[in-house]
Amino acid sequence: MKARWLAAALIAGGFALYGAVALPMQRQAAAAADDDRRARDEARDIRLRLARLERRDAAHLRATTVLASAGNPGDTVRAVRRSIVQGLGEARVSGVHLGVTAGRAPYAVRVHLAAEGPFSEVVGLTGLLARPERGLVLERVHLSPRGERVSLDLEAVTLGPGS
Amino acid sequence: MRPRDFSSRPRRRPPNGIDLGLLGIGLLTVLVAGYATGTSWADFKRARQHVAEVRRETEAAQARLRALEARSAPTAALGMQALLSEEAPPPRVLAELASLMPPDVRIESMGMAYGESIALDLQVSAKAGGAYEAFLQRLEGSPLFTDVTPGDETRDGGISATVRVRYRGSLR
Repeated sequence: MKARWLAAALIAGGFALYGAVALPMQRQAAAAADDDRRARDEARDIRLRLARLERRDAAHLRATTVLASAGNPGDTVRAVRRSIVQGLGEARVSGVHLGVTAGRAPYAVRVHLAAEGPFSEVVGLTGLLARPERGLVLERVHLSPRGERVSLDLEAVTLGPGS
Repeated sequence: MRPRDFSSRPRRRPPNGIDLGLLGIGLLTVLVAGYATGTSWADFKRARQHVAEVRRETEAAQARLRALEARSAPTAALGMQALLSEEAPPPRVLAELASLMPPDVRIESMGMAYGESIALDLQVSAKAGGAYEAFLQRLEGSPLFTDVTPGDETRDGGISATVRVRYRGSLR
């Protein structure tokens, strides 16, 4: 009989332990897991925003330093013009009109380029000009059909040091 | 030879199988409850520790984020324009637009203005209204584009329409 009382006590104790301690602890663990998920989501969001701003600042720094070696505005205009002419040499476009002028702060140089050619060449040219090593920051690009060809109208700037 | 017990004292009966089974169930109940308590406690502790670690890392990242966000508006705008110019030049934007276009839709002309995002002005033609609607729906559903605003449209057999849209690419 004693054994049965002991068994009943053990079963009752087990249920009591489960109900009074394990269940509330499980609820607390679930709440902590929710907190953990929220904290990780928040951390991921912050990391994404941070990465974006770091990429932004890196791009800004690149754009302001590519032409930093060119001393005065005249040198900068010549360097930018040479870089664009080199890009034009790599693309089969015609009817080119190029204007490179010194810009006012925060810009170092303003560029206006018009050209026409086959679609792939014209689009490819815009990609060439936008490469970071050229230091050009695109402002406006307009592509429109001209017969079988496409005409390009592009405005870009370079950023002056300290902009 | 064992001496005989003639006393009237009741003899202790050894526990039978049922008693042993009940004792086993009782012990098992306590063990299961103890195990559940232990694992829940461990889960709770682990989650709290992880939350604390993540919060510490987040605080450091937040401080850096605040510093970067405090840049003056014009500098930030120029930086974003430089980034978009690098990461989303016209060939890329066109390729992403083309991936959303049904076969019967074509872009006749396109204007792009780079700033804190890229504002696109599209002149679109479509052979049928359904294809144009499908293009608009795909633009609206794309995570790369936002603020899709259909403009004037001419329906004369086919469709000729203007659409304004912002490209945000991976910068969202």
